[in-house]
Amino acid sequence: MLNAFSSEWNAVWKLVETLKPGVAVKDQSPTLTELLTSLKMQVTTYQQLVGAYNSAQGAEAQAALTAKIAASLEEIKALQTQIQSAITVQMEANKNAPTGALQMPQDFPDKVYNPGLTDLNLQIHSVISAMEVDFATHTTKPSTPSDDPEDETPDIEKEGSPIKSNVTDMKLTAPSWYKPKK
Amino acid sequence: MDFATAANAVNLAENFNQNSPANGDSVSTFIDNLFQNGNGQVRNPATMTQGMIAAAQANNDGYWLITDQAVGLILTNWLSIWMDQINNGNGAHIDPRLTQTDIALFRQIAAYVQRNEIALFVPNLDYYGPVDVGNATPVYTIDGYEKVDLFFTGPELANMQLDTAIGKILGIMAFMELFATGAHIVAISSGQDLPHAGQKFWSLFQKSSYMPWRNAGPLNQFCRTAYMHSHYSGAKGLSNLGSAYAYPNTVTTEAAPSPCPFVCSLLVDDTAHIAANSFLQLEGWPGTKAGNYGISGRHGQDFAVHQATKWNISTYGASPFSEKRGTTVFLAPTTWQPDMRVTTWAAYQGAKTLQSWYDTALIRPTANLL
Repeated sequence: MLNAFSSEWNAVWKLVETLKPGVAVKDQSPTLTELLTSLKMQVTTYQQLVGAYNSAQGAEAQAALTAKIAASLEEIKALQTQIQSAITVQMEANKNAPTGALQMPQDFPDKVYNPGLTDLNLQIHSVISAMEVDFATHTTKPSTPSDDPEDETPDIEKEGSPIKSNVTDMKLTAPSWYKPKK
Repeated sequence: MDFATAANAVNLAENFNQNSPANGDSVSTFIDNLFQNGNGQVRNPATMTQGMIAAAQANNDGYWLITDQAVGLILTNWLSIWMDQINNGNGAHIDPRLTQTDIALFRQIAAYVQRNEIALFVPNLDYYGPVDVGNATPVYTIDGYEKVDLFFTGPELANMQLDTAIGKILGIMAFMELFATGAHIVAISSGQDLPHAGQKFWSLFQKSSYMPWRNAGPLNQFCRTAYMHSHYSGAKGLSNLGSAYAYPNTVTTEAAPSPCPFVCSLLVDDTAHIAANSFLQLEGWPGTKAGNYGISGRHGQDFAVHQATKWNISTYGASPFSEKRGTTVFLAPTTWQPDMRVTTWAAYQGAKTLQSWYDTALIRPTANLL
């Protein structure tokens, strides 16, 4: 079963609803708000695909949906990258804004402060990371046709397959430059 | 560790001084001499390339542009700061000719290592051969990591003559050799790589922020912002824009200042945007040419040599330990186990997957690891 991460995303949307990004960023296109709207649309698509995948009968039907879910996840990750950049730009703009330009929480009257941006960035990142792990663990991969049935060369995944971790104690002697003080 | 030394290495006089204006024995003169690149001079690109390739073929761990005496004077002084720090000393044994930026840096590194029970992990490399006919860039095999703890236990602090304490002092010297020759060093602290996130090395340098929980790091007073660099996502500009620190802030022109620190160009930054580790790397010289992002002047002087060898180049030497080759050196809690993978070697936050900046042609595993 694939996870739709509904409660996690709902928490993100709640943050988005109450978010006050800060000062206007000149010439920013798309804006952070527009990017977040796109993200919500794409996440909704993902969740619908996951629902279909979980109720699909048979490996073949699931494999067909896997490619669509993978493409949707890629879209989400691409949006995440754009959102991270937009948040960076927004935070820089907030930081450089004249004092008083932002509406500040009462608890921090002396600071130019917007914790929502950092929290949002972290939450989006953590949900998408969890989605990637979930997707890699639970999906049925479509079979890849090969012209040569003897060709067993596996696809090299970006992460790379694990190899033995060999850690030995370092053997050290005093270097030639070291002259202990007498 | 075994390092090669350039035939025309620059020497530092035992009675070096910090006079201003500088004279022949001044640190600033010594440093300026390191950037002479004419025929027969130490930073001549052809001579350097030749020397570094020979060092690679001889399986050396790095290449010095300075004499054994100069290495000894500089690193012994750094070691004295480290030992003073962990022994809660009053600085009486620290050479008064050192600058406060050098003293503060090694005090903080020593305290960080001690506080976080840090070990040094160095890739176990062997020279394999050139990339190709006509391309002498060295290719290495990797057979895992060699480890040495750098922090001292209570009994060791009470008796520095214990064999284990001496082993750790030798480990600190090895760290200093790697640091001084320009090894790319990642300090592991991410919760993605450890059961619990630890102290970020970067936090020693960070500026205070509008986030109320973030106070300035103890070294921030000696830092300036490095607006762009070529490591991790910073290579693409935006995501690391302005996040790196250049240490110290006393080296700001194309000539060595008087007095002159021995650490002239340390770059420190995050390895990722989220849950990052930190990296530190001694570069040749800071980018001081406004508008050119450091590609000209002393900072860009070694670019051709770097391209030919894919070794990192520092003020004092060169190193095969580079993240772009997958041969990063690590400072990590002693309990950390490198997660080795065929495309990323030790995977860590910032390099968990195959990044565009990896040159996988330059490294291969031994059969032992497969």
